[in-house]
Amino acid sequence: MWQNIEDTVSASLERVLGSLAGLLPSLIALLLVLLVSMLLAWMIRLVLRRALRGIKFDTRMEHWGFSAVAELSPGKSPTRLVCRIVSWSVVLLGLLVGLVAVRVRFTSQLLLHLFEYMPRLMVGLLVLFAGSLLARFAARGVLLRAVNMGIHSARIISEIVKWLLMVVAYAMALDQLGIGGDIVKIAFALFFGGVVLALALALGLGSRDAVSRAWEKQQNEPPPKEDDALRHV
Amino acid sequence: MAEQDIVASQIAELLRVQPSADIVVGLPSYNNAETIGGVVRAIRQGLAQRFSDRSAVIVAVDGGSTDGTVDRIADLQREGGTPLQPVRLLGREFVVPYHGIPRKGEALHIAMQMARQTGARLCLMLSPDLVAPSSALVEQLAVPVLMDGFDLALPLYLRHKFDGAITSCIVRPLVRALYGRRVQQPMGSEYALSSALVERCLGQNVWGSDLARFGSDIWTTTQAMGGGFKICHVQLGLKSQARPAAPIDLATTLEQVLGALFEDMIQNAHVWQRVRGSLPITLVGLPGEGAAPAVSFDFRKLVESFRLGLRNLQDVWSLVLAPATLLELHRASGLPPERFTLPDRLWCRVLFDFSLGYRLRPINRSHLLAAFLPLYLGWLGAFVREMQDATDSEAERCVEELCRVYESEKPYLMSRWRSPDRFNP
Repeated sequence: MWQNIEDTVSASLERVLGSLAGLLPSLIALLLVLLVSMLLAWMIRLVLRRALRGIKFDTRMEHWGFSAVAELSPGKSPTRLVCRIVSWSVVLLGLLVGLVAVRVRFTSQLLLHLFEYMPRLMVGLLVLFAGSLLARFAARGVLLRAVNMGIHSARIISEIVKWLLMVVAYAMALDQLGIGGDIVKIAFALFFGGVVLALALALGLGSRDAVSRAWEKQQNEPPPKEDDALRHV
Repeated sequence: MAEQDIVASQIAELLRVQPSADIVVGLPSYNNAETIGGVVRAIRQGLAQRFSDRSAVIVAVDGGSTDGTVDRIADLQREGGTPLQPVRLLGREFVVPYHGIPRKGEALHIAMQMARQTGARLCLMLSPDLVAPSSALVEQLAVPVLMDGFDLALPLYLRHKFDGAITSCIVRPLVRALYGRRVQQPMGSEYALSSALVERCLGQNVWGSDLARFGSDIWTTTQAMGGGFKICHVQLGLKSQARPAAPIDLATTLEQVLGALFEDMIQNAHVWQRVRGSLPITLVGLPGEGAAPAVSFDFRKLVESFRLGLRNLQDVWSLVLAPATLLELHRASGLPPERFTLPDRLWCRVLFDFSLGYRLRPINRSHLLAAFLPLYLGWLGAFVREMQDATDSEAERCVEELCRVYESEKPYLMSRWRSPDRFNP
């Protein structure tokens, strides 16, 4: 009996070791590809960073109106952000190429699907990123303008603007990714319509007296002197 | 043809008509049909009375007027007296709201180029919105440059104690602390420049930038200070100015003034970091008579605007202000309006921190400058409350004290400028 057990175990071990031996070249290839891709990523990062600093990319981004990118970037530098995105993309690409070298059927199928889905995923993430930047930028602009106009609920207005823009960005991203199908569109339309209706009702019914008082106050107040700003210079 | 080429060809045409001149008078205009006639007549009269032995030319640069100013200039060109050469800037889209005459920087550039190429000893810049100006204005500004050897003659007008608060609490003390000259009104819209100063200004690489567009008046003054040129203030009494054709709000005005100042600080950092202390500048003429029209503010409203800013803009302010400064602002905000005050040292550090924020760009520069308005209103509220019963000379002493504090706090600015991360929250 012990002989049978021993045979069975050794046969299993042989099979496992045989499989591992068969996979070993692929695994070594995977590691090699990963190492090369990391080296390549490091070199690209180095060259890219030098090039972007050379053309004063951070300053140009500010001049082109993309200063919000700096706020989301590591070290407040869009150059670093671009370098990181590019280098990690190269490493990811290396990983994918390495996985293909492993020749696992499941991995190949997964990669095939992933490659098909990749453009949509990238566009979706881009929409989300751009939407987030735009929402933050617009919200701060509205907040500053409202405070400078003396509006007491400036923060609330700014938050509303931010979340409306974020909801639009999320809906667009989900639509791009094909998640939820028409439900997302319908839900978004209902939500957006609901918010607008709620605001209209709140202003029309809830704040009727406040609006009326503000209107009367504005009518009774003398118009501001047009050249007031000149008196400050 | 590009705008620059068109302007160059216009200047070439002007030089063909007037190849040489001793005095070039630059007159920028934008919708000043009502007042420009009176200003041109005063210039011609002033030149004829005092400088009849010198050749002169008036260069009227219009930035795209729509109210008939161009026709008015054409009529004035046909009248006798000092030759008037019109220049029309193209591209109406370049006209943006501005607290002075829109596109004044371009007009200044053209006048300076004309002065250089005609070999003029004096370049005089005048404002077209003066109401019934005296013909003596030309003489008052020109004589210090032509006869007394000054390079820049700046106007010093009589103003009410609350008039021109941006100049009083920001421009004057900051420019003095940076460049070490006690100029009271650094942003004169009328001034005279020597040929040497014109040459220095034309040699700078700022033309076409926002600094030249929105801050040409400040920039000209800081160029003279940084270059060690001789500057004087000409006391001109009261100023009567027409209402602007395109009025703009306080936030935009403050943004333009601060933007120009901070941009100038960045460009001339190597100059002002070497300056210590300050020197007085020569006063020419006698103080005018009469009382400046009163300017009134409700300090309670101003203090409330400051508090509103503190409640809502803390996350923006905390990106640029040192933590201790922010803490002191909180303390000040807790005071009732009747006792509200912003100590000079605190105010000075707020401005220095913002200048550094402008340089380092932790947020969009336009947002950063917009976030300054509640702070300015807070300072103004405190100043109005403290000076409401004071005389003009007492208020002037208070501003002078603020200037001294700016000077004493300059090491703080230099320390932060050189090691910006040291105080970062």
